[in-house]
Amino acid sequence: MSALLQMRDVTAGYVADIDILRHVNLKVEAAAITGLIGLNGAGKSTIMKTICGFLRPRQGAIHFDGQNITGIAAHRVIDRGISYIPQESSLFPHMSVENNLRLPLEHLAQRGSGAGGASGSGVGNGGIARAEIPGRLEDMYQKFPALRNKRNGKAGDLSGGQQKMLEFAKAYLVRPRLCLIDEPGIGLAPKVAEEVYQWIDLFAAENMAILLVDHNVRRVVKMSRYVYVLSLGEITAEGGPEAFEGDLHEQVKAWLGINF
Amino acid sequence: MPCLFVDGVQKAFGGIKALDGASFTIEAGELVGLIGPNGSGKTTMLNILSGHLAPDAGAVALEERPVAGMRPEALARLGVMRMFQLTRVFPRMSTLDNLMVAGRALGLEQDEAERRAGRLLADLALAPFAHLDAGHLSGGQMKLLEFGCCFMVPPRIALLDEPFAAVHPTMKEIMAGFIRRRHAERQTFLVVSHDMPVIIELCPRTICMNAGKVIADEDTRAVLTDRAVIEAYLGEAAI
Repeated sequence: MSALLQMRDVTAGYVADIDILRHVNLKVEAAAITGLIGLNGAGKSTIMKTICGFLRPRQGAIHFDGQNITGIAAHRVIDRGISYIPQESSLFPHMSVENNLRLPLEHLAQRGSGAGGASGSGVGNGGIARAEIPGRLEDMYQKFPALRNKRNGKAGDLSGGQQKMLEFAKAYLVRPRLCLIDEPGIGLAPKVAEEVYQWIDLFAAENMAILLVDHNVRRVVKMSRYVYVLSLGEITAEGGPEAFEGDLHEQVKAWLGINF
Repeated sequence: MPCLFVDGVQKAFGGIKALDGASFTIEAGELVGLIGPNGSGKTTMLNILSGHLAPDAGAVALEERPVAGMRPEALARLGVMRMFQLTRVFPRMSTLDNLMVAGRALGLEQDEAERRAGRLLADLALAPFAHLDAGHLSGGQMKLLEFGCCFMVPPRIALLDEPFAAVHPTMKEIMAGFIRRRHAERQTFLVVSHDMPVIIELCPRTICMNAGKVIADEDTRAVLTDRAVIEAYLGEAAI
């Protein structure tokens, strides 16, 4: 089976001379969770930013669904059917909850009506009919009921957990084929963090492909069909969950660079 | 008399306990590593030590003087110097003038400030860039300059937050060499880093935090082979 997303020999960095990613090869299969683990500073978030076009690779290529999307404009990623839930907020805090949710749908409706430009339509989420919006919102409110009561309030007034829920709801609305999820539980109270993983299950049940970054190694291994380990910008280990079973201590020491 | 004494420090943000009773002591002249997985409370601890946050509970003492809740500028005057993860220099002033400002602000006379700035420029391999606007330095050189600014008046304790992150290997070596030489002159350091090989090489002693608590504090090699430390890096207790 060919991968939905493929990074080939990608080298990337933010400033000259310093490569954050070095010759990264990585695949995300359709309708499955792919896990990405590694220490702080290893480059996990940079991989996501590079896929989304916030960072253009110095070398290598990224293909999505057979098409080259290397260095794609970040605002065009959604048209390909890729959503990104970053570790930090991607909400407009002064806008209402519902307007935050409507934004991507309005964009896709505009595309669906042909006003958003002719190129690239018909691929993944390349446009929806405007008439679909109420139905999608209703379905989303059923999956994320806590947002219904808050829909007229400002997004920035929501609690941290509710803001994360809004991020997931926003991604869910556009039914991406691939969702990049970066440390979804970080900074949340333990009970709320548990809820986050139910939303990921919901996404998986909708057959979305997921690239999941999470610091909880055992959880990632348990949830994923395939796992990559990133150390200082390089993929240093990969395999199915069975490759990471048992005592992970020696592996963690290797990732940390402890050789005694 | 310990240089720094931290006892039972607590700090919560909303429902999240960033620090949950953390305690440790640093003697004068020690070079101590502070490690722990993402979210373990390292930066919150540094923020409390440098006065950027006040603890909810617990004690912090600098050479037996209680300092918890003091403002950053007051702590800086007492010799607590903090180097941030994100570099901040005056971009439209020369490298030399950045050092001079730091020295003069800390009360040095012009001549003395010039003498010390000259030594630091040489020590940090910045001499060729003395008259270049600091904004034109590379990221790593800016970090070295910030280092220099912190050492115009040697602090009682230098708190370094990820000094080696995203720095070119050459700059990293200059920085490590600088820390090593100053440590040999009995300068006290607390260094937060995720770069274990550097921690192993530099720090005789390491403190590991997880979920707001100190879970290991001893000889660096012993800490890095402690099962609880490795378990923390597997991420289970951090959420």
